[in-house]
Amino acid sequence: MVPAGYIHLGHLDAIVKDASALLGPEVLHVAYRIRPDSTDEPSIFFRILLADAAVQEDTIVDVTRRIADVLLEAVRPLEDWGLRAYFNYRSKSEQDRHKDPDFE
Amino acid sequence: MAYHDDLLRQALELVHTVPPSQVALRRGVSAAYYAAFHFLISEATSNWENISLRTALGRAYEHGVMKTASNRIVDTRRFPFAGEDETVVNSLRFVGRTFSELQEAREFADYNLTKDLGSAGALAQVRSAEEIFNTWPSIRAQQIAQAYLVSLLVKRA
Repeated sequence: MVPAGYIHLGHLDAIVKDASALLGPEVLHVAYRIRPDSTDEPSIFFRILLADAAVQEDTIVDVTRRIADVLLEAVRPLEDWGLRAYFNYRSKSEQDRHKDPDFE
Repeated sequence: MAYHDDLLRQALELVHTVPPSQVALRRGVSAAYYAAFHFLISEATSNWENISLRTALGRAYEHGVMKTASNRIVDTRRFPFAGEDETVVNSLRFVGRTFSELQEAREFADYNLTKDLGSAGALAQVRSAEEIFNTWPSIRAQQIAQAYLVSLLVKRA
């Protein structure tokens, strides 16, 4: 595990990019930020931009769970980087209406 | 109907409010977290034989301790769960990860007004809370699931 404060951002960025390539076409973009969570633990906040068709009532849990599983397995935030992982999602149309820089 | 069931139903109603509003989405995410919070406490305290004291015992649970315990089981290096059924382990990790994520989402929903809470994100959080309810019965009888419930109360692992 990399001690908090000694994260090689270039290395992490390459791993996240590689992991993002494993995701399906419903994922339009994967962004992330590293910062403490609400309990001051070092964390990585993934921001996933989804195609509108992926944001369906009956499938949203499966879609988001699959995305999180892929990223967790590939990036291993807690095991290799000492980072708690959090995921948030936004649809393309939402992002078009109200730009959130965290998702870009 | 149990309190946590009412909270989950309220969360679902709130994220489906038409037209959507920030107050409804934020209260929906907050209610979803508290639904999961009270659901897990209810599951844990149901092991206490004296039924009339279960709600009093539930007062001992703390958000921070529950979050730490939930994050702990996500760590595959510290908690490999060797020899356990992979499906059970994956379900348990999902519960822990989702609980932790819901707590963080509630923090944003209740306190952070610097940017809007999106409806897709809110829906995903509320449906994930519902999935904890759906997943738990399949692992409830497993020792690692019961150990997780105990860990939610223990300040030092």
